[in-house]
This record gives sequence, C-alpha cells and structure tokens, in this order.
Amino acid sequence: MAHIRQTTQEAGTTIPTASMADISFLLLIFFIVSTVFVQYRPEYPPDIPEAASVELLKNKRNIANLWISADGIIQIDSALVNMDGVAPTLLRKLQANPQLIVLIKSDQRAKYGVVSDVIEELRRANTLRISFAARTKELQQ
Amino acid sequence: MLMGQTPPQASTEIPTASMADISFLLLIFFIVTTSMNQDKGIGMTLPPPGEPLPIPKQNIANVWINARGEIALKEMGRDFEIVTMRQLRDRIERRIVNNPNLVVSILAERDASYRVFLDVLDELRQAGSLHDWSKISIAQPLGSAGGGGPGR
Repeated sequence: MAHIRQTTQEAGTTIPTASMADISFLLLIFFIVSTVFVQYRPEYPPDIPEAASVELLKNKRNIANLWISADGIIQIDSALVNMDGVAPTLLRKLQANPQLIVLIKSDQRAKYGVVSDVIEELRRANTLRISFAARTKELQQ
Repeated sequence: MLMGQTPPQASTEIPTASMADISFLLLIFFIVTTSMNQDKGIGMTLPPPGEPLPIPKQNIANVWINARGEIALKEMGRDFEIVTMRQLRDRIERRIVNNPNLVVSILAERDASYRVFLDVLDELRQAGSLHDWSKISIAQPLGSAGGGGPGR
C-alpha cells in the first residue's frame, strides 16, 4: 500500500456567518406559515374521555370548538351560549367557512342528553361534519 | 462652526451583519406563538335534517345504553341482551362480516354518561375499522323534543 502524504489545507478560524440570515429566514417562514393566531380557551376546561380509534384533525382553520362542561355549559369558540344559541352561532360560522368541522369537546361526566341536544342543533344548522374529541388510549390486548 | 473638517466617506453598502439578529428575533416570536398540539377526535358525518331514510329491519342492530352505564344489544328476532364491551365488539364484528350493510343504531338514555357513549362508539369503530365499515347512526333518546323544532 502506497502511503500517500496529504497536505492539510490551512483552515480558517472564523465561522462563516453569511448564510446565518438565510437559515433563520427559512425557519422563520416555516413558523409564519404554520402559526394560527386565533386560539380559544374554554371557560370550563372539560375532562376529555379516552378512545382508541382517534384520528388527527389536520386543518386547524376548519375547526370550530364546541366545549361542553360536566354541568352542561356550552361554549362555542369564544362565546358561552345556551342550547338555542348553538344553531345560529354555527350557522354564521358555516357561512364563513363551508368546510367547517365542529369538534365536540365534552366532559366525560357530562350527561348524554346535552350532547344529544347539541347534535340535533348541529343538524338543524346543517353543520354535518363533526368530531368527538378524545385523547389517545393505548390498546391493551 | 466646523471648519476644515472633511466629512467621512459614507459606505454605499447596506450592512447585513444585523440581518441574522433581526430574523432570529422574529423567529423566536413565531416559535413562541405557534402551538404544535393537534386536535384529535372521532370523526362522523351527521345525516341531513329531515325525515330519516327507511332502513330494512334485518339491517339494523340496536345498541342501548342506560343511565347506569349498562349496554344492551338487540338484533333482529332476538330480545334485548345485556352485553359487556368485549361481547358487543365481537358480536357486531361477526354481524358485519355477514352483512356489510348493517347499520348500528346507538340509543343512549338522556341520563347516561357521555363517557359510556363514547366508549361504545369507539368500540364500534374499532370493530368496523378492520372491515372498512362505518355505518353507525346516533338515535335521539326518548324524552327529547323529537321534531327538532325551535320552541324547545
């Protein structure tokens, strides 16, 4: 085996920072695109039940949150509403976005009657795409 | 008065050294305001309002949930039978293999817990997921204003 002598080049001792701005702009653009500014918080945070067959809801812009507390208090996005206010509120949201999905985030101790009434109201408002929020449960077999 | 002073030669280049700092500042702002947690749920499509479509009797299986959290299954030609979650899943799975047009109707009492309802829904979806089946219908419980009229 021939022993090849390699001459090492003199490396510069400074870190090149010219492309730093490009890198950070790239990251910046990613975060700008993925940010959704409007976020709602529930007045009465529910204890969401677990389920195994959950799926991810991809587009946040199409989701309307509907919280139901254990006592049956209903909140849609930012407003606390009663049962008669569910259909008009969602009708307005559906007009703004026909692709609307209503994510029902109900407390697991809530009475089913309230949820059933809400579902009937949703049908009346013609918001037919719904989803029952659930946390992922590990399958125990 | 400034006399005899030559003005310093202004550079014609735009300084880019602080560009990275500016963009990092914006970057940090957007990182902080972004929420990455995604919503998860069991998706369904409701039937449009109006009269429900008639379904042949042999294609319906009824699941009842009462206020105590008990689950009962009623199939064609049989009486109600209280089942466990496991039995429900096995029986429904067997039925949908034989009859892919089966519609399972969930009827919960108004006082039933939402948790049991979602557990049943989850169980049915799991049973159906292996057979590409998702014909689950949510029936209105007794005692609700049936017509869906405005004067509730």
